[in-house]
Amino acid sequence: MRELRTLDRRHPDFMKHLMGTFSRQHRALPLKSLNPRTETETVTFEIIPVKAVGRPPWPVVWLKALRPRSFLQVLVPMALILLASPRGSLDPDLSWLATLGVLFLQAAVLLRNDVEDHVSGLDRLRSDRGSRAIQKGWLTADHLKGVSFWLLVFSVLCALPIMWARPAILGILLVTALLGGVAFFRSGRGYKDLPGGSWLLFLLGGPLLVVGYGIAVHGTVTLENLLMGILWGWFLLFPVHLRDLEHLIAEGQSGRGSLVGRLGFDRGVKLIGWWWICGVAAFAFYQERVGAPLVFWILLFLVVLGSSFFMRDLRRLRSPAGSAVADLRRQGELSSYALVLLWILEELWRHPL
Amino acid sequence: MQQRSIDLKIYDARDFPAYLPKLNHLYDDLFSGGKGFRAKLIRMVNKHLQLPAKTEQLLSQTIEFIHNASLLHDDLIDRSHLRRGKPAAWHKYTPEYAVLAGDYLLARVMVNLSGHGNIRLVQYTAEVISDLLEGEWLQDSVVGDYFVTLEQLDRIHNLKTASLFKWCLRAPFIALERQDQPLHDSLEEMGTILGQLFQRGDDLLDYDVRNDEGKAVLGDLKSGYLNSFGAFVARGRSRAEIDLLVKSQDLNDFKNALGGAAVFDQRVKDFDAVNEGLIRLYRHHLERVGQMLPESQRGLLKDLNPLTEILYWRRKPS
Repeated sequence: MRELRTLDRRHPDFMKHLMGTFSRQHRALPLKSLNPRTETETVTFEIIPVKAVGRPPWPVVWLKALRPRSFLQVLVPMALILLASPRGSLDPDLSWLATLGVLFLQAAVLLRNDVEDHVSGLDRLRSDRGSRAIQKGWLTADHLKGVSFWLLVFSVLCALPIMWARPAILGILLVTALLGGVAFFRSGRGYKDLPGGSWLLFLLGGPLLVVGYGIAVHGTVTLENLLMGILWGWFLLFPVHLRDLEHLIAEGQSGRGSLVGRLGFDRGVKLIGWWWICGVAAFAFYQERVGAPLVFWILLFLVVLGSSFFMRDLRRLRSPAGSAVADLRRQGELSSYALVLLWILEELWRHPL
Repeated sequence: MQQRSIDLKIYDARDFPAYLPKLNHLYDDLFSGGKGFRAKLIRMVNKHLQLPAKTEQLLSQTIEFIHNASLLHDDLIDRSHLRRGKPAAWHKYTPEYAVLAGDYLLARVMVNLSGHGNIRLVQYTAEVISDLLEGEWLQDSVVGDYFVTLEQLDRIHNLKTASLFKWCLRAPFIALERQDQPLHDSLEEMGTILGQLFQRGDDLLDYDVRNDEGKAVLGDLKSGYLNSFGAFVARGRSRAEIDLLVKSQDLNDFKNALGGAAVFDQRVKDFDAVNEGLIRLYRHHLERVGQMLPESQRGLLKDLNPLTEILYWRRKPS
């Protein structure tokens, strides 16, 4: 029989169990949590020998931990910038270094994010958080923290030559480092509970990433890149709001303060509706500005038409309990993927490879 | 003071004003025939804590008042015509009377408890009533939702069903002025687990599993409510398969839609295995509670240990 161990946050060994440093031979898997994401959280761990964990092969473990799909969050905007950059303006060496640096940074952030969610209790409150590699005992939070640190170091190493060649990027990197520091090294519960937490994600994943990458690859800040960044940040937050709505009850009970959580159900639904409408309008404005072809407008019309089902179901949504909100989240994600795909196709149309 | 004793739910005629027409009749109908399990649980706990008889009476009355108030509201929301084999209050009297009678019971709870003077107990009881109402509100929004997940149902049951079990375990300690957090954390977890097991055991009756009480088979499903076992077996199935399950006219249809009787039996075993995990967790917390109690109160563990047998397995402990 595997041992069960209940510890609260005040217990001196609590963090060792969460980080997985309490033993080399055992893993502590959180089985049940009382008052997750509060100072009085009490967690019951199942203590199991490492050999009994049932871990898949290492490549699978790391593939799961790194969640390849999450890399689309940086690969798509980077691809858009590369496509939109005038021919001959790209520095191939710096482009490679910047791409590698961003990928290392994204991997570091993903892993560190899982560690933060585990330490703060968010992954116990919401089963959709992270890769679940820690919760299944495949890796410890301490492992991920260490790997995340080295990935960050690699990212900085990639950034050094770019800083030398493009001093204009220093400001962007400084702001990114500052906001990243607030996000991951703020004592307590991280950036996700800050009143402006969502906007932090918007800035980091949107304008800062896109403008910074633009400077790295072609050396200039263009208005098109800035608009692209704002638009991308907007799309990045859309699924976040949808997931926050889906988990509104759990978050409300824990007192967690995402933007949708603070607004509550009725106003949260309105926010999501307007977020989508404004996102589509901004996207159309951007495309009109860059002179998208007629075929693009036809396809955009079809996507908007398709998303009317999402808007209809959003208006019909009556409660955050039940399956309707999960269906709605899937529809919303699908609509935003369609728009992003359209964006890539349009850039490819205007700037063939 | 003359006590009117109906099973275990003891209340005095003077608790309710005689000048309100039908109120006492409504309560007589409501309180008779119930098992009074929650009041029994209070007494079981207090047997070892030795609170004064008056306090025990207050706690027993409080939990039964809250529970019965929730039944009055529940029957009206569900439009259930029967309660404990008799016409439901809203049906026999009027929906308005049922709502008022439920509200009145909750108001009496606050009057009685505040008279006792333990503010922490008043606060905790008010929290439990809020939870109960939140659960009722949320449950209404999953009626007719056949794609609801077990996790979502657990959240509702935790508010609606488990909150009263938690109260039964914690309130006597609060009345005793024992407020230490680790003890209450474990009692809270035990209450949560008992509530979940009770609900899941009850939900299995709907599929004629250990249904010695003769509960109507597939009653929940036919009234548009996919209960915890339904959600468990529906997990991972396509919409078409779930559609087939919920359109079952009888249990045989349901088993066939699931893939046959053998598949059904296996799913019951799987469900039992999940709940065995909960029972294991319950025993772990029971041990923890034992370590925090003085020797004179440790007899409580022996009494609390078999509750999982009664509530989930629906059998008398061996």
